[in-house]
Order: sequence, then structure tokens, then C-alpha cells
Amino acid sequence: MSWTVFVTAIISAMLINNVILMQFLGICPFIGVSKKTSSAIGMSAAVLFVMVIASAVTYTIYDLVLAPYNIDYIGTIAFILVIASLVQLLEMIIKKYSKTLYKALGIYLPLITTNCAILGVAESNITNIWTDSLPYAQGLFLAVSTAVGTGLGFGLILFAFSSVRERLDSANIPKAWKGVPISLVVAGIMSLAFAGLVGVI
Amino acid sequence: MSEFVPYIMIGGLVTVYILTYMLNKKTPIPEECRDLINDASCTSCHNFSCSHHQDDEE
Repeated sequence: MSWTVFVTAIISAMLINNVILMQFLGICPFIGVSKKTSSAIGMSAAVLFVMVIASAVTYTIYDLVLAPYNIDYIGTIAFILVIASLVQLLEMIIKKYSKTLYKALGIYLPLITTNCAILGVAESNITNIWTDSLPYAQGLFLAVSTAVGTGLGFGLILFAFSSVRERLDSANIPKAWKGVPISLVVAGIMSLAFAGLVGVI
Repeated sequence: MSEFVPYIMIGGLVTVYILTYMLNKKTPIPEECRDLINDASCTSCHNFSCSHHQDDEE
């Protein structure tokens, strides 16, 4: 558990294995909530928030319950239920205790329940990080670091993409290309640009 | 006994989900946040019953 491991995990998850452009997860909010920069920032913050907490909870459940009892085959369904419950719980707490935070994140929280990027990170934490011999605290630290990096990477791409889409709205493009088609072309070009970062770490 | 663990686990998680859903549903949205619902303007899916959904034509 060191600063270097934390930074490496974040840079790797954020830029090299970007959840949207390299793993093609979370495409629904990528296309759906990227029309306005303000919505993109709110959604990114909510995703980062839920992703970090969900990763910590799912890793803990896997390490302390699913793996010892040899019931890792129910991992996916358990993670879906954990994420859905967590979103409801967070929304309720934020609604009740922090109106400011609810103003910023609240409206995006229900949308996260169906965000496959959250489930993807929870699953990849188990596939890529968890091993029988790895101490719990060390694994949890790596899982949370990866979640922070993935959430930041999601936010970075969503923000950049929303900025491009705002400019595309006023651009003179053929009618057939307006909206989602041109956005997908932009996403493809962004994906190619990020592919150039492979091998940095 | 250990063969019941998956059932207990899934049952427990479903119960937790139902409880959190009910509690969240009962918690009122702060007055000043009610008009923010439309700001999400989400077009991720075609679920027209969702309060966040906004038509592309709007």
C-alpha cells in the first residue's frame, strides 16, 4: 500500500484502460447524458462517488463471504443487488441530510443503478485483483484505487465528449449525421487517440 | 448447512434492496430540488415512464 501503487492504479484505470473508450462500458450515459457540460459533470461526480463505495463494498463481500463459502458463482447477481441497494441508500441519505449534495448529484443517482461501468469495475476488481493469498486490506486498497481511476477516467471522457457535442450542435453537418451518428464517429476518434497511450505504464 | 448460504445471501440482499427502495421512496425530495429533475435531460434509454427521460425532439 504505497503512494506509487495508488498513482499507478489511477493512471492505468483512467487513461490506459479507460472504461468507456477501451472497455466500452457505460456507453448509455456516455451518449445519453453528454448533451450539456453541466449534466456531464454532475453525472461524472455521481458515478465516481458510487463507483468507489460500490467497489469497496463488493470487494469486501466477495473476500469475506463469497470466496470463503465457495459461492463465487452468485457474484454477479450479488453485486447487482449491492449496487442497486447502495444507490437507493445513498440517494436517501443525501436527500435527507445534504440538500446541496442532492442538488449536485441527486438527480443522476437513479440513472447509475443501470450503469454497467459500476458493475464492470466491481467484476474486474475480482478478476484482476483478488487472489486467495492477497491480504484483504491490500486488495481493498487496490480495488478502491482502481475505482477512483476508473471514475476519474469516466468523468474525463464524459466532460471532453460533452464539450465536443456542444460545439457539434452549432456545426454545419449533414442532417443524417446529426445527433448520435456524428457522436459515435467522435467517440471512435477519441478511442483511437487513447489507444496511443497503451504501453505508457 | 453451507448449501443454504447462497439462498440466505441472495434473500438477504433482495430484502436489503426492497427495504432501501421503500425507505428512499418515502423520503421526500427537498423542496428546492424538485425543479431540478428535468435538468438531467437523459436520453440513455427509451423508458418513457422514467422521470429523467426527455424526448430528443424537445
